[in-house]
Amino acid sequence: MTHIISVINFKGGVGKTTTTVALAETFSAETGKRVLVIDLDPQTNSTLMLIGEDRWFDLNAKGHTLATLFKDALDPDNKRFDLGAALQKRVSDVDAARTVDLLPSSLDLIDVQDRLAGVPSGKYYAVNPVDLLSRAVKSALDNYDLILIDCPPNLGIITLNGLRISDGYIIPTIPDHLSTYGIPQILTRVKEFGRAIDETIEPLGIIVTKYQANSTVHNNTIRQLKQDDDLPKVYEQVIKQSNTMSAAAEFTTSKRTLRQKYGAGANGLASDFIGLATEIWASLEVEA
Amino acid sequence: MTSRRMLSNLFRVVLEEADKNSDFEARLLGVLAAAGFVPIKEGARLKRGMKQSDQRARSDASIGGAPETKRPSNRRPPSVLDPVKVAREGEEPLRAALGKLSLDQLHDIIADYGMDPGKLVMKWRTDKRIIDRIVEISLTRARKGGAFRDTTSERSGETLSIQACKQRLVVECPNSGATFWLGPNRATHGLHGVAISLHNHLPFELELNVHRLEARIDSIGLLDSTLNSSATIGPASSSNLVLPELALTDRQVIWLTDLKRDSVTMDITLHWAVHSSATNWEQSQQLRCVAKISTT
Repeated sequence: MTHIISVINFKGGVGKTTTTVALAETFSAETGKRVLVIDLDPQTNSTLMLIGEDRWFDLNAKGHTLATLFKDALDPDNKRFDLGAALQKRVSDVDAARTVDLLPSSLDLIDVQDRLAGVPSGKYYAVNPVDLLSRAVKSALDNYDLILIDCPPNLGIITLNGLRISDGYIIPTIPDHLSTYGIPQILTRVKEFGRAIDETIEPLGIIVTKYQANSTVHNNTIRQLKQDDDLPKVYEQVIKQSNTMSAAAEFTTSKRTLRQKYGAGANGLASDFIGLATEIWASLEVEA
Repeated sequence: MTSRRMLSNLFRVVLEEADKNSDFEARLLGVLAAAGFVPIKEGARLKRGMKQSDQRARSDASIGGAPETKRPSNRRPPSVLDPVKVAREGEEPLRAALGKLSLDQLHDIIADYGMDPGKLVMKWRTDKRIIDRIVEISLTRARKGGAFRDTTSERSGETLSIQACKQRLVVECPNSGATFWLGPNRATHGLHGVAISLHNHLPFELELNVHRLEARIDSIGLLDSTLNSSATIGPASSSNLVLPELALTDRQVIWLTDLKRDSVTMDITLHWAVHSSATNWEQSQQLRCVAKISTT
């Protein structure tokens, strides 16, 4: 069974992208799961982390990104999106993460996203602007154990496309005042969207990122999040604030191990992500 | 005037002169140090004894103009050069500069520029291997963001490397209209209508000349033809180029006819030269192209 999870927070800079990529690599390297990362964020950061700037440029020039999929919807008589060409196989620079694929994003999504509401509905009114991703990738979904969707920090039509195919979503957040303000809003909006499409999109959990153990604000915020019954569970495994994470975001063509990339030992993040992946998978299996 | 006030005035004059005159300040500190008055430990006052040019250099190196933090005593010596800065001049100057350095100095660069988050490269003992890593990372950092920059606003391509130019010229084979004519009229035997799409993402006009085409079918070499087919592509625009008819020998016609197929997939390798006001280069690229087979 394929689990499809959106990674979402309306606040920028909370670690959506790094969490998405690190989890994808951890699931692949540690458990051999077949993972697809769908980068819906026009900032293309997941894409750049996984394939680097040069390869992205080449793909973008040829139209082999998700921007083409959404552009096609605006110009249905001139469709160019080719899933096979856009799907990038085995993209991770972590040696053991051999089963991570990517559907790359593009900066061109910025131009497209505001026009998607006016997508022509087609001769039989069958085209819905929030179904575009679903229609394009459904043939490939069964090839994966896990699909992680890196969503932009908003609830626009592109994000709704990601939620449309998701069984659930996770919310990375820095445990501070501003980063956690929007969480109830995310829950309400996604619930409303789920009702509108008659699907359940489960809030799977909150991931604490960039955690500083010596911060009173962080510790108090985590406590409040855990005590709030209206919120989904907070994963026990937190992701520490670390320079290693910043360094890991730099694409390299040479292979490395998960621990070399994210840091080994008590101060590294590899063990954090392994712990988090284990916790997430356990909860997915229970839900299933 | 009390002695306290006299001394106070004297030291104020000395300090004012020391603030204005770095040579005087250095001589003053030298005398005091020789007399054992200045602790050897680096401190704010001793730092004032540095030449102003040194102070400027260190200030420039600090991040965002913020005061430079003291380097921990357990850190390696600072890098003797800025590899990313040299990389902006090109790969060759960088390799030349790195080639003059000792293994320790190469390790200093790796440490100072955070090029070994996996703590792997510091264990390497081969200069070449370390230099390759520094070059790879430095070139990537020097070019960082290049793919997102508005190349149309660049006045010329002089700042772009050949590699960057190659990446910004995209050549595709859209599989439209290529046909092997093998019919009874020998005059028309040949491969017709191979078309390529050219996308120029550079900010200047290019003239592209395709001078050779190799084609393989089922991994068997069929054609190796010399041509002279050119197209001009404007800055940040696209163009198509239909290659001229490529003649076939009787043997090739028979071989293709014996395949008894309606179409074949060819792996073609195109060799072309690019000329522009900014730079010239040679390039080859493999493309896949489907061609119909017509025997009528």
